[in-house]
Amino acid sequence: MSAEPLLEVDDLSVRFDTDEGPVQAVDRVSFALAPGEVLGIVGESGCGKSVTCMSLVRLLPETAKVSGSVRFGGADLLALGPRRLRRVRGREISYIFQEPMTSLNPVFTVGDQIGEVVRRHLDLSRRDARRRAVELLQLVRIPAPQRRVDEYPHQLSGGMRQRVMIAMALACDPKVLIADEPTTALDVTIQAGILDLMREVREKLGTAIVLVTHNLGVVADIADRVIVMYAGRKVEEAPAAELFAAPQHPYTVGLLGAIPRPGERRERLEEIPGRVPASARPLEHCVFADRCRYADETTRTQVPDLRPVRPGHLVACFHPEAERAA
Amino acid sequence: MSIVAQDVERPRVADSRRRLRVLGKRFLRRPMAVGGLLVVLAFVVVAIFAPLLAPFGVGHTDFNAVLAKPSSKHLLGTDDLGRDELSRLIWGTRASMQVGVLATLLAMVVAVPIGMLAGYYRGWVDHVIARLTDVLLAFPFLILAVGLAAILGPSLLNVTLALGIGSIPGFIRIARGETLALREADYVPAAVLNGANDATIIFRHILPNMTNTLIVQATVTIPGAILGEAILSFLNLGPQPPAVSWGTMLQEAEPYLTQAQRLAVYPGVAIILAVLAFNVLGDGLRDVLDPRTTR
Amino acid sequence: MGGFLIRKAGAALVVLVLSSIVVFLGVRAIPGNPAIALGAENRDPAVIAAVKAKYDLDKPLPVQYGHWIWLALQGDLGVDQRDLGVGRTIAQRLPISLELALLSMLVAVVVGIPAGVIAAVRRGRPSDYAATGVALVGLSVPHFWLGLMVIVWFAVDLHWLPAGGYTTLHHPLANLQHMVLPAVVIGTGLAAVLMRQMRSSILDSLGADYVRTARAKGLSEWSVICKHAFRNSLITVTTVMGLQLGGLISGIVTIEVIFGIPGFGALTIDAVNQRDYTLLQGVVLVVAAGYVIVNLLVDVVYSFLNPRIRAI
Repeated sequence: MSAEPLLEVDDLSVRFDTDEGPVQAVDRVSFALAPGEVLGIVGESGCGKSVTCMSLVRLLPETAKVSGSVRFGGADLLALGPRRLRRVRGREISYIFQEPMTSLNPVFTVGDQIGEVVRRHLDLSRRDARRRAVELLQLVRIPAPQRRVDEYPHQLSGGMRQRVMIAMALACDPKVLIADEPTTALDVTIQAGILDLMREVREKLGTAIVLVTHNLGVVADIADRVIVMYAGRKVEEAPAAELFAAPQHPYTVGLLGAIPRPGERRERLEEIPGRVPASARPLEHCVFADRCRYADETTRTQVPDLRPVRPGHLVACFHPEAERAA
Repeated sequence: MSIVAQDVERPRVADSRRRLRVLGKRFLRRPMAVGGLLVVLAFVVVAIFAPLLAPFGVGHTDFNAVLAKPSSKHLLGTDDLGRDELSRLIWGTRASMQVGVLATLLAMVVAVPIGMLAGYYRGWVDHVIARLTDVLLAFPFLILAVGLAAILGPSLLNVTLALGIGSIPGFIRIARGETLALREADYVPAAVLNGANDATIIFRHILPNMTNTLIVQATVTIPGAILGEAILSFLNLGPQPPAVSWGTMLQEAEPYLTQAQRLAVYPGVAIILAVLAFNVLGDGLRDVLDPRTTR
Repeated sequence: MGGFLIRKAGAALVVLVLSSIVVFLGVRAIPGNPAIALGAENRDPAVIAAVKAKYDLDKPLPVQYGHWIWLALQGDLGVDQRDLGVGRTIAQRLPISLELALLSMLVAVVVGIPAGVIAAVRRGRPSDYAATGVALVGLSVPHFWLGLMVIVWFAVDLHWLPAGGYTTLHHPLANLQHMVLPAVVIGTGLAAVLMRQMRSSILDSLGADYVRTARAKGLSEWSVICKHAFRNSLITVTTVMGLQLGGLISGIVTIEVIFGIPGFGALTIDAVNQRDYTLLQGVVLVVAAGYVIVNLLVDVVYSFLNPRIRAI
């Protein structure tokens, strides 16, 4: 890992005040992203991974109370004025969202929506913006970009729309690309294409990628490092290869058990019993205690801190695999 | 579709009672809507108990007090024929509420079955009904009501009929749309598997599920009819003297606008208050009952 | 888009034919003897027979209808009680109402759309409550009552503007002086409807994924709201404006009567009150045709605003 991280998240917490009381969606999460690195964030739906990413450039609704810090380019994004923040959004850090169907505006052409980014940040003329849009469509391998550029989102397939989203995100050569479940809404065959494209982007443009997904298979495919989140907290972090070879947190072990591996014969997928708890007040026990098969007295009365089991491998568990085996 | 028929049952009584309580709670959390409901109820009470509440009879005239200012005898003063304004306002409440409610009921009774037929059977039935609705919709509400009132002759009953007929297309559209959506709901195929016939499905499964929408539409239609009555009466197509409604009061007040503005203010304020109350109530009910608008 | 509009136009044509039949039969359903009414209440059998012959009333209904429509298609709507051409009368009166309609719409759009956008953007703050509250009251005030009050306040008490009447567009200033109050009165109610619709529609759009995308692109709040959210809201609002046409017409009819503007609305009411059958029949036919055509135009505008429809 390089010494100087590109993006440094420290103690990030997000709370929503709802009618049913406050909900702690993200609880003191810290991580760093190196230039050109692909960081996977995994967890079940509702674990706070999307909220974490959206809070980085403050895309959450006003009801969200965000605390902590997000250092990027010498500034704290959470404390930045709106004008300077907008210069980061879309130019330095850009996003790909889960739903390509609804994330594009139905009433503007694809070219319009891509061109808008470069016109805004790079001050290109209308004509140059269009040229750039065609170029970008080509980059994301959309056939007949000259024609597609004037089409509306509803004229494109789901996979194509996601490619358009990627083109839009890459328009200003951002340093960080945040992809929030970019393949979840797509067919399996199309997913592979999108992942290939993202890998290519990282190699060609050197863009660092934060990839949020509930699908460990996707992470195994392209991530360098992985963070596992559970109920708003980071429960494990490790280099991808190590995480898959020697997972430490019982939750990670459970998640890995839930992905089918080719060549492996099993009667049925392993399920982790129970559900992600609704996060509300400060915890007095391990978040995973209710679903953990190794839960004991300590687990139920104390909150485990993140600690290294090996260099670069953190886990928040009283009974990580490595120690239990010993 | 893999639905096991027994799985999908109609909500039981206990369920619907609990649902009602939840809805009630949500409604009570909206002070505006509660206020609207109270005002509406107040008008209804005045309308029902008009004979007890009005100090004077409908046609009572007092020629010693013509265009009199408010006094202890005539709390709101009198009009050009010496009729007590407060009494007229109270009797007028009765007429106006009656028009609003009856016209809406009439429209509902006629339109809902038609709309449900169109939505349930679709095909040519739907086409024919859609075209006929379009024909009714080809006439602006007021022109239609004016025309009908002219054909039927000026009276409170005929105004009610005219406004009721004018409100039919709106209800047809809503009933049709709801039926179209509801017949796709899971419990319809389930009911079919259980051997229910069309009538059972329409009346036991679809109709109860669109009551919410119908109630909301009614809270829009009633004030529309109240306004419509006022306009028709103002154009001299409404009830004839000695019958009183808010609209006839306004119509009779017009020549005296410069001398006794209050004659126009009272019924005007009554109309605004009633329509406003219904609108606020309707907004509140929509928020509470319509799941699509709850956020 | 062609297919969509052709289908719409076809449906509109069917509706027009059917509604002309409704107009024809409806006018004949008005109680009283048309021949007597048209013959200026002259009950001499010879006169009545002459009137019947003149107005085709001695022929069977289908023949009467066919004759009427055939001439109407050529622009001839017959003559009224006073032997004036109905078509000519309508042609004189209609522009006055159209002017009033346009001015009212202008008031409604200028007030209602910005108010709705502002209320949505400032949701839950005092300015939102104020705008929403005013709109709610505006929605509940009958046009004609507001008209009466406005006449008393501005014309009779303050002498600021004329209490009624009309001056042609040859004298633009005088014309405007006469039109301001009526247009504001009608526009107020429409503005209220428009404001509420705009507000809820912008709120919907602001919650949409594409608005989040627009923000993630680093666009300013101004272009997020005024470009991305607004364009989508315009689609729903156009539809609602189309539906409000009925309200506009009802406002025009009553307000013309109150302000003594010799427009199309006042003509309609005169025709009803005088039992002038040919005039009424012509007037209502024109209203229905105009209404259907404007609704068709709304569909055209809608399809231009909405690329999903345009593609069909």
